[in-house]
Amino acid sequence: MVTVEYESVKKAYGETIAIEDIDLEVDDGEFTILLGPSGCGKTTTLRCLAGLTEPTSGTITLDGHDVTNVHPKNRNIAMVFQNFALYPHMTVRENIGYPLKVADVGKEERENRIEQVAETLEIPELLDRDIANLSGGQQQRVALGRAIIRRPAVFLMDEPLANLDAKLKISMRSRIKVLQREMDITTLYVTHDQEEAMSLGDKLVVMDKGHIQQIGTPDEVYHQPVNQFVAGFIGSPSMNFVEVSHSDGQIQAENAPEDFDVTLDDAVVKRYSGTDEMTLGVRPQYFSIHTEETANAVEAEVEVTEPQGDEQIVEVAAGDVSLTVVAPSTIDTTRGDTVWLTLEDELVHGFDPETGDRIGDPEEMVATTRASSSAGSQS
Amino acid sequence: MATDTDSETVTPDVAQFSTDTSSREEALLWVDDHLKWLMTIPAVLILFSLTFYPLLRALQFSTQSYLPTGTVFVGVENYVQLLSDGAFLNSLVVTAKFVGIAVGVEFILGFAMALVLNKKIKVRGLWQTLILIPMILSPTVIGLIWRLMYAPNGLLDFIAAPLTGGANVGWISETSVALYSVILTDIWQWTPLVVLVLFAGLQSVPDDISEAAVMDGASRRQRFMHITLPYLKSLIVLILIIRLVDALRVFAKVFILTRGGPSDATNVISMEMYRTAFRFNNFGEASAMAVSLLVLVLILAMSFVNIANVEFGS
Ligand SMILES: Nc1ncnc2c1ncn2[C@@H]1O[C@H](COP(=O)(O)OP(=O)(O)OP(=O)(O)O)[C@@H](O)[C@H]1O
Ligand SMILES: [Mg+2]
Repeated sequence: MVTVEYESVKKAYGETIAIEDIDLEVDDGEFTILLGPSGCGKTTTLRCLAGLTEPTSGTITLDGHDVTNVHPKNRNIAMVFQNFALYPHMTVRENIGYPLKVADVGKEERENRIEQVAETLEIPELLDRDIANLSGGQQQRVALGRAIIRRPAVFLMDEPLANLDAKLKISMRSRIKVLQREMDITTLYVTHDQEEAMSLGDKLVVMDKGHIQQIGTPDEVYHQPVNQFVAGFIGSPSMNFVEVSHSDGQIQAENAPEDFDVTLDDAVVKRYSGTDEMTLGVRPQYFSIHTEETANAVEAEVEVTEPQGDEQIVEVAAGDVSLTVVAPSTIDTTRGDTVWLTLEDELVHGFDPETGDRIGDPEEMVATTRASSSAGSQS
Repeated sequence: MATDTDSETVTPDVAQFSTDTSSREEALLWVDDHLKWLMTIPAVLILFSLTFYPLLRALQFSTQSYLPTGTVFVGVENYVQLLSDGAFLNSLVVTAKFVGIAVGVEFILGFAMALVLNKKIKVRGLWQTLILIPMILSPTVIGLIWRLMYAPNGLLDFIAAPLTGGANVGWISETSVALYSVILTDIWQWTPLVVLVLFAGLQSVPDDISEAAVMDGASRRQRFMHITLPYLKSLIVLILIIRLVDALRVFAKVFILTRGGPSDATNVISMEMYRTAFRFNNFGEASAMAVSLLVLVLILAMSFVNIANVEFGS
C-alpha cells in the first residue's frame, strides 16, 4: 500500500516559478500521468517526489508520512530518467544489479534477481554487453530493469519513451503498462505526448505554466475538458476554436458571420443561455463534411487535404476562420472545392473568451455525451 | 571523354590526345593520393630536427669519450661508469624522493581541492583565477621568489617562528631540510594544474548519472567510488603521467634554489647531468645519464598506463 500526496507544493528558482499550488493524490497501484507542454513543470513535480529537488514550500507525503525532507535514498523510490542515465562504464548486468549492490545484497541473490529481471524484460542475452553499444530501445529496457529490481514503493518515469522511434514507442508502451499492472506499483509517469498519456494512464494530470489544469481519467479530460487549454492540448488534431456570438441558439462566427452561421439543438442551447459571446470548441472529428449544399451547415472552401489512410485531414476556410476537419477518405474533395460542415451539437464546447473556462455544467455534458457517442464515456 | 572501347574506332590523333589526358589524370591522381603526405614534410622535418636529431646525437655522445685530443668511441663504457658513480646513484635516490613526495602530495591535495571546488561554492570564478597564477609564472621566477622567502630571516622563517622559537630554519641551507623546501615549491607550483584537470573531470560527470546513483540508494562514498572515480580514470592517469615525467626532469627550480646542494642533498638527476657535462666537461657520461633518464621515464609512463588499465578495466 503506497499512496502519494502533494499538498500545495511550490518550487521557485529565484524569480522563476517552476510549479505552484500542486495538489495531487495518487492511489496505491495507480498509474498516473503528468502531461503538459515543455517547460510546464512536469519534471520538477517528479523530482520533488524523488527528493532530487527540494520544494520551496508545501509537503509531500508517502503513505501519510511526511517525506518532504527525507533523503532520496530513504524514500525507496525508483526513477527512470529521460535519457536513461545508465552507468556508462558498467555492463548491463552491473547496471541492473547496482541498486542491490549498494544495498549489500549477497552476490548469489543479486545474480538470481538480475536474471529474473532480464527474463521479464526479455534481455537475458544482453546481460554481459557494454552499455555504450546498445540501441536506444535496449538501453530503455536496462533502465527499466535497474528501476524494478528492488521493488520500489513508487516508480517515477520521466519521458522514458521520448528518445525511441514511433514503432518501438508503441511496443515499449504496452510493455510498461503490463509491467506496472503485474507489479502493482504506484507510478508517476511524465510525458508531453497526449496519445501516450491517453493509452497508458489510469489518471491524467494535465499541467500548464506550473499549475495543474485538470485531473481526471483519460475519458474525462478528453470529453469534459475544464478549460480551453486542456481542450486544445488533448486530442489530435487539436480542437478548433472559433470566437462566436450567440443568441437563442443561433451561433455566428465573429470573423465570418455569413459563412459560419448555425443553429444549435435545443438541448445544447440550454447550456449557453445567458452567454452572448464565447469561444466555441469543436473537435475535428465532430464535423461532418458534405460536398452538396446542406441545411444548417458551415460553408467553407477546402485549402489542403492530407490523406491518412482510412481518414483524411481537411483544412478548410469559412471566410476568415480556418478549421481542421477529420473526414473519411471516401469523401472526394480537393483544394478550391466548396464544402458544407455540419456540427455534432452535443459534442461542442463553449469556453469563456476571457478566462478560458468551460461554460456549462459538466454533469449535463456527460449525459449528452453518453446519449450520443457510441464510445460512451464512463465516469 | 573517350573510353577504352571507343578509342579503337577513333582517329589516331584523338587517340593520342586521349592517352595524354589519361596520363595527366594519372599524375593528378598520384598527387591527390600523395599530397597529404607531401604536406606533412615540413612538420616532420621540424619534429625531426627538434626531437629526433638531438636524441640521436645524445645517443652518439653517450658512446664517446671526450679527450683534449678529440673524441673516441668507447661503446657502453659510459653506462658502466654510471653504475659505480656515487654522485649519480645518489641523484637517483634524491630524484625518487622528490618525485614520490611532490607528485603524491600534489595529487592528493589537488584532488581534495578539486572536490571542494566542485561543490557549489561561492566566488568560484575568483578561486579559479587565483589558482592559475603559480602555473603561469616561469620556473625561474618561481625559484627566485621562493629563494627570497627561504632566505635567513625571510618570510618563511617569520611564519615558522612560533614553532622554531625564532631560530632560522635554514630552509635551503640545511641538508636535512633543503629537499623538502624544493618539494614544497614544486607543490605550490603544480598542485593548481592537478586541481584544474581534475575539476574539469568532475564537472564532466553528468548530473543525471550521479542522481541516478542517488535514486539507486548509493551513499556518498559509493557514488564517489562507483561513479566519480571511473569517470575521472583517464584524467587521473593523464595528470599523474604529466606530473611524473615533469618531476623526473626538474631542473630550473633546483638550479636557482640550491644548485643541488647543500652537499648533494637536492642533487636531482638533471642537476647531476648538468654538473657532469658543464663542470666536469664529461659529455659522454652526461649523455649516458640523459639517455638512461629517458629510458626510465618511458618505462615508468608505459607501465603506469598498463597498471591503470588493469586496475580500472578499460
Ligand atoms: N534548475 C533550474 N534552475 C532554474 N530554472 C529551472 C530549473 N529547473 C527547471 N527550471 C524551470 O522550471 C520550469 C519547469 O521546468 P521542468 O523541467 O519541470 O519542465 P518540464 O515540464 O519537465 O519540461 P520538458 O517537457 O521540456 O522536460 C521551466 O521554466 C524551467 O526553465
Ligand atoms: Mg522534463
